[in-house]
Order: sequence, then structure tokens, then C-alpha cells
Amino acid sequence: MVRRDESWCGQAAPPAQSRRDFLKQAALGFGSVALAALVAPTAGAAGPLAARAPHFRPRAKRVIFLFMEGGPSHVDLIDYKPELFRRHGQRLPFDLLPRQWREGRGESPDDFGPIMATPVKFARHGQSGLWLSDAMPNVARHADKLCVINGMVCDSPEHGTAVQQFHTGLFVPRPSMGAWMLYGLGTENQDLPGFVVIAPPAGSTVNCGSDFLPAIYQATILRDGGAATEERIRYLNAPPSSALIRQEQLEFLRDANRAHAQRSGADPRLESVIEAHELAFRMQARAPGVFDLTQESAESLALYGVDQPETQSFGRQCLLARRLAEAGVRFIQVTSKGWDHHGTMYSSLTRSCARVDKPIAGLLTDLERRGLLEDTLVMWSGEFGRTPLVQGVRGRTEINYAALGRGHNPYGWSLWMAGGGVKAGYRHGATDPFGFQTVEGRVHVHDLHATMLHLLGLDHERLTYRHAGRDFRLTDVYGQVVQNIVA
Amino acid sequence: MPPKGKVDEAVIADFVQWVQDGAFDPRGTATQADKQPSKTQARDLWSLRPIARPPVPVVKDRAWPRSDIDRFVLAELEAKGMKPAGDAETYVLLRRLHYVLTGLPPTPEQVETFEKHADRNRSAAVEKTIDSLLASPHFGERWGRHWLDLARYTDVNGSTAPVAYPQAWRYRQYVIDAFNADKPFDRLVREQIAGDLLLAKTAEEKASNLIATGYLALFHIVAADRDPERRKLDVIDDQLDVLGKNFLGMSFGCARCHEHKLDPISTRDYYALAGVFRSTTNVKGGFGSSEPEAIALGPVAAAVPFWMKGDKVKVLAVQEEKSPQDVAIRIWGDADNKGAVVPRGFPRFGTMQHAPGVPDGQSGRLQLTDWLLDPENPLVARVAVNRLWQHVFGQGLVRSTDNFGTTGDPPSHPELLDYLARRFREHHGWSFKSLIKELLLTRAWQLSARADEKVRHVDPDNRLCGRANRRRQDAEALHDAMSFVAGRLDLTPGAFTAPKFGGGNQASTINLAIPEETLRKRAIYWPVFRKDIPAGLDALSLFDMPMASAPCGTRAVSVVPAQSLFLLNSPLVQGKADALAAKMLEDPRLKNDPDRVSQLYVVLFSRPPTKTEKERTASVFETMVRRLGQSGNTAMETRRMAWSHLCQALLISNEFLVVE
Repeated sequence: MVRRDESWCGQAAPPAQSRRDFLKQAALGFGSVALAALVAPTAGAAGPLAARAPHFRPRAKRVIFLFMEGGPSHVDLIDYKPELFRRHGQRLPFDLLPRQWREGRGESPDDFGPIMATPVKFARHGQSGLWLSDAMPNVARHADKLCVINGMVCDSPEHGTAVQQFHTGLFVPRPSMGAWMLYGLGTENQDLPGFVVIAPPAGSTVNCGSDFLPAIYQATILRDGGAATEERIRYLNAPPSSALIRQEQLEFLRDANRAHAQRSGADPRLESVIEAHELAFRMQARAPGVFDLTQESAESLALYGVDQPETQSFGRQCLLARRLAEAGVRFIQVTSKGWDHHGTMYSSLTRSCARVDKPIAGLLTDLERRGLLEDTLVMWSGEFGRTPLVQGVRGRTEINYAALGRGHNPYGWSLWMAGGGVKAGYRHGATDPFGFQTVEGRVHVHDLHATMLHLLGLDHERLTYRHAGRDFRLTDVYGQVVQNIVA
Repeated sequence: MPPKGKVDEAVIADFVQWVQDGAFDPRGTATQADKQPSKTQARDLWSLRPIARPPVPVVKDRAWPRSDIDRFVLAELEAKGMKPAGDAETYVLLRRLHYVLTGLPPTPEQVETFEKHADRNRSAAVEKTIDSLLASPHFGERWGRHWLDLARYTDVNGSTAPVAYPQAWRYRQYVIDAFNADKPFDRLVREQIAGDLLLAKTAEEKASNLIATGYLALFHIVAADRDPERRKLDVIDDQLDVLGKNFLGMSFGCARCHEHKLDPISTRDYYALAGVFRSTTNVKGGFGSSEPEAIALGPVAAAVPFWMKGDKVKVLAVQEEKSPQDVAIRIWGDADNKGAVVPRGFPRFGTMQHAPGVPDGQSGRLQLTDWLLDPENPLVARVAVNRLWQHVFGQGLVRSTDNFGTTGDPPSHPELLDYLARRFREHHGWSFKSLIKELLLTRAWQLSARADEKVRHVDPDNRLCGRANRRRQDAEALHDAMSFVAGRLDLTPGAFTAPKFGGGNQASTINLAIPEETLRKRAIYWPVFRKDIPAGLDALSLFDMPMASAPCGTRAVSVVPAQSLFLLNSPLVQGKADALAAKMLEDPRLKNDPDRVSQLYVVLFSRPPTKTEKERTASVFETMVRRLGQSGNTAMETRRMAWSHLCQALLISNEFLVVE
């Protein structure tokens, strides 16, 4: 067996092999751990999930990704375009439209009308003077922490594929960015999964999976349960009926497996199953404590808006994200659904914002006061942005702007990041005067991925995995680090 | 740096010419004709050499082999100074036979009969069991599933919005029936690629042939483009990917955009083949969801198999395009950037002397099957027997079963692979069952999985086949076996089983409830989803059932804690344990707990418990009963719960999860 140097994260040996060695080193084989030891300190420092040194000095140790599924309207939130307000109701000349749009590659062009402004109000915020709208007043108070990227582009005007590209880089099945980061860095807490998605987006199998990377790197999906007692990881909790005799049952299972392994001669495949059981037992013992929000103070719950009906759900998710970050989870994703505002643009946007504004602001405050923000990269984004033109006009002579919305815009949109080594109170890139297409500081999703890896201390060209005869990367053959936003 | 001023006209003309020629890489060779991989290059790749007729090697230990296959295996072992492992124990062998051929464990009655016969004449008992299992309808369910992995079979597409394919199951049943009927491999190739073009004697045959082309119609594409031509090229790319990996062990995909850097496939080859599929109907629907064409089956007689029946049945299938046409090379794979038009045709691999041409007015799918099945095609038979070897032995002679190219794994036994490739075609007449039987009868297959330390050290991955490969059950066998021993498996086939779900491009099927009656069937009849796999199908997705969006010849075998949690805490597994416990407690033949324990081990492991196991089981049971009794449960409840927990522990133990 050829064993590659494991200290080199981009070239980590396949887990089946490293696990074999791991078991030798950690003396964990054959279920030799007594039940009491199940909740004792974590297993050895090797293995596919062990924390690994990055390629160079990292700026961030972990990521919290706040995904606004559906495509939030950047021109109503973080990309201020006075022209929209000045030219509301006017047609945009054909030659000012994005090329792909003119070629009919996006949504049906017949359905779009004039430029639309909504009743949002933009103002400068903080010392940095970032232009932000009043749709998210609480987040706006953190303006001096935000790094706004206004020149985002992606390759698809359609949700499914754009979401897939944002999560994995491509439209064909590939590992999720969280899986790549976990593969590259391992995780700091062996009793918890290293890649956690709370309330997943549609297509979680594709978007949060590990594809050709070993399955150990795929996301663990946490359900957004209302009740505190609800099981958050599937099958984490033993049924109550088992409580009295679970311990005997597990001992019996462990004995059976040990005897079988001894009859079979040393076989790493059998050892690895036994070891996975042990890890599962540890997770059962430790994870519920991390998920238990009743340990939080009333002040903390209020900070995230958990005490208000409107913000309760997303607040709980953000609070959970902070607890997971604190516990050493590498990549945490939280999803807010319902940002696909094709109709009633202003009122829908206001409602969506109200659900997430306070929780996100609470998260930023909390991370900062706990000293976590400096090495936690927080990213807020949808899969694309929205058109400056009103959509849904087909067949209408009178346009009721309040009733209509905006279409999909992959040609020039925005996101923001905070913490984790990005410049604070900073704006990068720009779109045309209407917010329709990027004209300056273009950042493709591949560039974003390269930059995220860079902030985590990973060189996106060196973080490779050999599959089907060649080395694969998160950024495929693309990607340039946006050095400009690195603090 | 760009030059100053306008470039010389002659230079511009050169560029124009170069682009028209397909913008090939000018380094090394200069003309298009030379871009074909040279004969020498091709011969360097082992898989493109003509399939040899290797002499059967002479071995030192004349008494050990039972067949020529054994001689090939033993010769390699002897060359490395190694000895094969001992023969497998009888009960281990019986389990292995049952799992490999049907994916289900033997019943206690079958264990008893086999042990009795094997005592008198082991090899006769083995052969008899093989024959009866090959004749079982469960053989097709087991081996058909292997094929469906290659065909990226699905019931619900989902590159963007989830779209149900309520007719796809007919193709699944075609595959199951084809394996049960032992349809020869060459026939399977012709029907799945060109079934609609074959002469059929009856309406039933015609219907079956058309359904077979579901193989091409179940494509996976990304439907994010409004342009029908671009979508069509994406469909073709999927079809070529499946075809190339399934039959040739080659990935064509790279050549869509540039000359294949590693394998002997040029961009010309790619677009020559693409023309064949450009001339085949396949895609309808637009932005957001592209679907395969559904084609009316036409009237069939009343006595046909159930999977052809239905009122005005439409099936997922392909047909000839009205006006077949060649395709232009797309420079860098860009649909709008056309290069030279390439006539439809087929690459000549290695020493292949000729490749069929495509007559005007035809797509070329018939000729494609001729080319695949040409005796000079060096890849098809090798790839096919290697897959078969993998499923029988647990690991291919070439481990990269879908990659016989330069980046693939070289064969551990190149002569044996060639011997088998020839034998499959010439001796077995492309019969799967016949070749499978020959493999199962070898001594090499009937070895124990146990290896001493020296062997483990010299050959940790068992490349020399000196012992049996111990393997974790695949997802379907794992579920089916649990249900089977619990007496809860509904062995009838199923049609389309996906429940109704909402559409739309942000719809998710993750929380879609899968009905109980579906989950009672064998897992091959469960619905397959491409995107959001419902949590109700965790029994499969957690245990490495492949994503249905791409062909998969070799499944991953992952070991992750989520599997342990599922085995310990899922209602599905606990339900099986409850049912198994009830079966033991309610069996009137079992008079007392010691009887039940003995029977439980036979049901689960095909062997009686050892003395230690009996004692340990009894003492754990006693402790459990004592603890449960203290909390006010009735004696009956207490016994049931204790039994269920015992059953579950053994049901998820390695001896049950692993095939020796």
C-alpha cells in the first residue's frame, strides 16, 4: 500500500487507508473502549476528520454562511442605484441590457417592463459610510463590519443550477464547498459533525453532499425543529423505550462485533465499522448539549429575536450557528427561504428582511463580543440577485408596481461578508448605473470560492482530490483570489 | 501583449483557417488527420491491444485448481510465493452464494438442506444451489440493479425542478426480466441502444425493444438554458458519457471541448459519435425542466408481461430523428462556435481494421451496436467480464471498472481478463448466467476470507485473489436482508412508486413521505430521485447507493457515524427488530428461550450459536428483563422489549452486515 504524506492536507490519503492507520495509532480497534470511555475525551489526532494544518496562515478558522434562497434584490438592499429612483417607469435601452439577456438566455424577456424603484430608502451608515437601504436596519448598524461585494456574477439565471453553482462551483454534481473545507482542514471537535447545514436549501443532496469526496465529508443536516426536544440530527436520539436497556444492548453489540472481528482476522473494514459506532455514541452523548438552546440567557435569546414570533425561527438557527461555531464546527450553513420576489416586490422584501434582520445583527454582535468574529467568516448571499426591471408585465397595459416584482439577475449582483479576515466597512466592485451587470471588480462564484479558501489558509489550486484519474478542485480550472477584500 | 496596429492579412487568414479546422493544439502535429491518436500510442495502452488467447499456465500444485480460471489465479499466487487461503466453511459459502446471486440470505430450511447435501458431496450441493438460485426471479432483481447503476436509472429527474418519470419503471422491469431470462449481452446491447430499429416478430417483442431504449432516454441534463440546440448537445453529452463508460471504460466527455489529454479519443471522434445521437429524438420541454420524449407503445396482446400493459401506455424511449444529420465540432464545447462538420462514425481503437459507416437517412445507432460488438473491438468484452468478475468476487481484476484508459487501474491478471473476455463471447455465447456459474464453481471463489498476517502484509488489498473479499452488503441487500429475516419483505415487484409531490424549480422532495407499502418491497422497487433524496429513503442513500445522475460501475463503501445512528435509532430498523422478535416469540416450534436463541442465530447468520454466545445471550437477556421489570412493565411487554433489543443488536452486527 502506498501511503501518501498525510500532513499535507491537499494530498491527504483516502480515509479508508488513513482510518486503518488511525486505528493502529489510536488503539481504538475492536471495540476495546469500555462504555464509560464513550464520553471520555475524543479519539486520537489522526483520521479523516482530524484538524489539519492549512497551506498558509489562515485568517478564518470557520465559516457561517447565511444563505438567502431565491435571490435577494441587491438593488433594494446593498447596491445603491440612484438612477433607479430617477428613471423609475422609463424603458432601459436595448443596448444597455446584458448580452446573455439580449440573446434570450435568461427568463423570457417579453415579461419585463420599465425600470422600477421601490419605496426603500438608502442612506450612508457608520464611519465607513456604506450605502445601505432601510430594509435591514439592524444589520445596517453593523455597516462598519461589512465587506460588500457589488460585482458578483454567476453562470445561470435559474434557481436550481445557480444554487448548485454557489454551493459546489459547477452545474454537474460536485462536492459542496463545505465538504472541500472539511476535507482540507478537518474539524476541531471530533464529537460533532464538521459540516453542518441547518434547514437546508432545496436540492440538499446535490448542494450539501460530498460527491466524489469520501462520504465522511458530507453535510450533516440539522432540522429546524420548533420544540426544544425535537431531534435535530436524524436518528440522533434513542427511542425512550430503549433508555433502560440501551447500555446492555450496546455492550452486547460490541461483544458480538469483537468476537466476529477476532474470528475474521484483523480486517480494517470491520474495525472501521466498530469505530464509526463509537463516534456515533460520542455524538449522541455530546451533540444534544450543543443543540440545547435552553442553556442560553434571556438576554441572548432576545438578542437573536428568539422571543419574537417573526424572528423566532431564523433567530434560533443563527443562535444554533453561533453555538456550533463555538463548539468547533468548521462550516455552518443557515438557510432563509422565500427570497424569490417575482411579485409584490416591496412588501415581500420587507417581510423577508424582517425575519432575518434582527437575528443576523444579533449573530454579528454576539460573535464579536465573544471574540469569535475575527476568525469566523460570515457570508450573507443568495444564489443571484434581481433585475432592475419590473417583471410580470406580460399583457398588461397599466403597470401596478406594488403588485409586481423583479426577475433573476446573475449578471451583476451583491453579497456581503464580515469577520474572518475581510476588510471591514468596505465595498468591492460595481455594477452599471442600474445594477444590472457588473462593470468593475467582477467576482465570479469561482473567485469567491478561491477567496474563501484563501481566507481559511488554503490555496484553491493545491486543495485537490484525485478522482477518476485526475485531480479535482473546488474551483475546477477557474478562480482568482480577490486580494482586494483581504484585510 | 497584444501587437500594435493591425495584424498582417496572411496571419489573420492563418488564424481563420486554424479556427475552421477546429482550433486544434498546434504543438507537435500540424494537421487534423494527424490528430487521431497514432497506432503506436494506442497500442501502448493495454486495454486497446487485441484480446489475446493466453495459454493456460502450468501450476506447481496440480491438485488445487478446479478449472483453468483457478490455474490463472494460482499461477500468480505461486509466482509471489503465496498460497491461497483455505476453503470457506459450508455456511459461509451458502450465504455468499445467496447474497451474490439474489441479495437475500438463505432461510434456516435452506441452510439445513445444504448442510446435509454438502456433507455427502460439497461440490454437487454447491452446483445444485447455484442452478436453483440462477433460476430464481430474485436473481434478476439483484443483477438488474447492478445494471441500473450503470444506466443512471431514476424515477424522478431533478437537475432543476423535480420531475416525475412515471413510465421509467417499465425500463427497470425490462432490465430485471432480461437478466432473469438470461438475455445474452450482445442482445442487451442491441436492444438498449437500437431496440426501436430491430426487427420484431411480435407486438410484444416490439414493445419490449422500444422500452429497452429507455437506457438512452433516462438522461440527466442541466436544463438552465432556453436554447433547444444547447440542451440537445447536453443530452448527447450525457448519452456519450454513459455509453463510453458503460461499454468501453472510456470517458468521452473531455473531448467535447478539447482533444482528450489522456485517452485516445479526439474531438473529431466525439462529434462523429454525437451525430449519431443528434439524429436520435430525445428531448422535449424547456427552461427549468427538460424531459425525455414519451413514445406511445401501441397495442400489445393481453398476455404480455405486466410492465408492457396499461391504457394507452407511453414509454420513455428514443426513435430516429426525421432527418438524420452530422454535427459540427463545437470549439471549446461552445454550442455557438462551430468548426468543421464531422461525418457520423466510430473511432478505430487499437488495431481495429475497420469501423462501419453510417448510411444516409439513418442515425447510425444500429451501426454503433455493430461496432461495439465487433470481435476486433478490444474494450467491450473486457469491460463487461470485468464488471461481472467484480460483482461475483467483490473487486474487479481492473478495479477502475469504468476507466480502462491511461489513468485507470491496470489489470491484476491481464491474461485471465483476456481469457474470460474470449470465453464470454466464444464459449458462453455472451450468457451472463453461464459465465457467472463458471466463476462460482471455481475454487478461488469458494475460498475463506481469512488471511494470515503474512498474506495481509504482502497483499493487503487482495489483488491476487488468494482469499475471498469480505464486503459490506450494498444498500439494497442490507435492507432486503433485514426485512427478509424479519418476515416483513413483500417479494412482489412494483411499478412507479414515487408519491405525488409539488413541482417548481425551488421545490424540495426531502420531506416527501414514502408509503409503508413501498418500503415493504425489495429496495430495487423503491423510487429513485436525482436531486433531493427523501429522508424516507435513508436506508439506501446512507449506505452508498450512487447518485442517479451519472453512471456508476463501482459503488463507494463509506463508513460514517450517520449509518450507525440509523442502525441504532431509526424506526425502520427498530421495526425490523420488533418483527423479528415477534417471529421468534410466536413460532410454535420453539419451546423455550434457548431454542429461540439457537434459531435466531441460524436465521441471521446461517449457523447455530457457540456455547459462549448462548450463555452471553441468555445472561444479557436476563439483565434486560430484570431492568425492564423494575419499571412496572408487564412480563409480556418486558420479554418482547428485551427480545427486540437483542434481535436489533445482532441484526446490525458486523456478521450480518458483511458478506464473508
